Amino acid sequence: MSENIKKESYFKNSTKKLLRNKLATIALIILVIELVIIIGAPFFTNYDPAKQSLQERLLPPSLSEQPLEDYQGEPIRDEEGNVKYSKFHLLGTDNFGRDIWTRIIYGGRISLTVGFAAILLGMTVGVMAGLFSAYYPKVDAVVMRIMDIMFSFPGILLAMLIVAMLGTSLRNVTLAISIWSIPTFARLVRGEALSVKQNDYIKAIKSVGAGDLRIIFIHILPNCVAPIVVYSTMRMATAILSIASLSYLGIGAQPPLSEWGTMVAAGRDYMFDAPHMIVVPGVAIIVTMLCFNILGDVLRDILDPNLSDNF
Amino acid sequence: MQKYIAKRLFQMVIMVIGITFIVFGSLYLAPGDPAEILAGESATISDIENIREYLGLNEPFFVQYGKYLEGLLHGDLGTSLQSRQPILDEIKIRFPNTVNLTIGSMLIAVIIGVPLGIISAIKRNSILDYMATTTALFGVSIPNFWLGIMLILIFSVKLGWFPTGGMTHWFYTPTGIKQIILPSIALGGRIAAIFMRLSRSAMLEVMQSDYIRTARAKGVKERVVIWVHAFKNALTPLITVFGTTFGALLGGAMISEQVFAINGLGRYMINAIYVRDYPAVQSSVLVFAVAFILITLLVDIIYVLIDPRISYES
Repeated sequence: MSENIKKESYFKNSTKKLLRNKLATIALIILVIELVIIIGAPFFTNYDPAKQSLQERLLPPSLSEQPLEDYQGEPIRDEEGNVKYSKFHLLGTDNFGRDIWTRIIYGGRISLTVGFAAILLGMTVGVMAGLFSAYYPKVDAVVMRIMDIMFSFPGILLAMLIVAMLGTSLRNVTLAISIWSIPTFARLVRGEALSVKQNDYIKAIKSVGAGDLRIIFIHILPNCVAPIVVYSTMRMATAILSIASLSYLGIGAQPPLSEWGTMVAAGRDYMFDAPHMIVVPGVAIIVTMLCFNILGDVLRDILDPNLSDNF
Repeated sequence: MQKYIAKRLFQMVIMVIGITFIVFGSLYLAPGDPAEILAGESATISDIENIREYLGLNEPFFVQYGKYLEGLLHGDLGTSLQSRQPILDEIKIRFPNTVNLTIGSMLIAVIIGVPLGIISAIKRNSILDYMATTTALFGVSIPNFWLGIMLILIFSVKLGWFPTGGMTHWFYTPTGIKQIILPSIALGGRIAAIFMRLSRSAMLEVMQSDYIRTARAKGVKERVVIWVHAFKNALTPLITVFGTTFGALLGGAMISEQVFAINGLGRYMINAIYVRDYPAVQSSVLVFAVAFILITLLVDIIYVLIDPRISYES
């Protein structure tokens, strides 16, 4: 009898549920495509993201080569009098004649790397803090008070304070965003771990003599994975937004590095002549954010319906 | 009740002290010697030593911290390195603009977000609901600096309906309304989306509860069921987020202020970061954080006042 019951792992089951949701599948596909293009950036463009070509400045997006004009709007000609044409720039060029498509995909490297690194760091520290707080009441008293103070600080302010004091660099932005995520991870995991800790099987393992670390990491942690996955996904969207915002304000990625927020900031001065300089990086941010938000929503519905909307 | 408020006030004092500690201690995180930074590049070693002595940097950390706290209690936020003016005076000029912008954004968020959420909960799975939820999804995904620039491009430059930036009047004056609408949408749009999603899910939950079924069963009109019976109870979870979103608004204000060239505290802070005016950065963060704590406290107190189910003893 029993072999007729199909056994499915939790992971497999959840993935199936996720893929049954059309919107989530589309979001996942878009993100995978984005990731492939961003990782393999040199294969998807012929240009260098930092290479300037002043004759080709501020070209609008186009499907073909465009005639070049000088600052007075006169066509640029070669020695034989023929009008010079630009190279092919699908999404146009910026004020230094740099190819925007190239800058977008190289910029994505920064957003996604910083995002992943910040979440990973914040998650590791937060999860540890949460697990140990749940297991040792003495740790709890100290760690959770610290988390309370961190919570009482609006996140973006904390990030700015860190960046202001340590200096504007990508490393510091990563650090700032990860510190900002620590308290929520800690609270989330602590709550989950506290309820797991009450289970009989934990008492049973304890009575056969398992060590504390073994109980914490092998028996409690795996039961806290669902909220961690959900929150990390949602947090990714916030992280990408924060990097872009800090860079826009000039305290994140520094020019000439291409980053989506920096690109929007650079486009501000040309918003009448070349609105594509603002629109294109904006769309890149929005699409990425949308995908992470959709995934986060759907994952929450599947894995952890009780998790509140409000972080 | 009084006991609860007293307890919360006490907690608040502890929090504020904690924050002053973080803010003061953060200067020690800064690479390099503060005195060296203050003295500038052409300073001699004795200049730096004089500055260090003048600022009391040779004293132990906690003595310095104590002096800092004493200064704060006397309303002394220090002197700006850039303008050499007392920071308190500089903040006094700018903070009202930030408050103005924050209130405007909150109004936009509530006026757009809450009704939209409730309507889409009532008309669940209708086209209206899909449109509203999709808009909200975009709302939480569009960066506010980008939205701000787009609004300027469309409504100020192309259509000429609103000024491109600046803030000179309060939001309730005719000029003020024109000045504040675009920055508030840029800043409050995201919050509106969050409110919409929250009020929708809160309303859906309430609508499924037993007492709503009872109300319907005894023949209460649907309109009364929704607005009298359900709405009030759906409001409570919203009020808790009110406090935290105010914090997000205060923090996000600097972006809107930067995009719309509003002379507010956020912009002051950003400029202070650019020129490494550390005391100004510290004080701006402090003012923001204390404002945030005060609002959270206020919201918590309102929360227990309007929702008698909450036991404030625990």
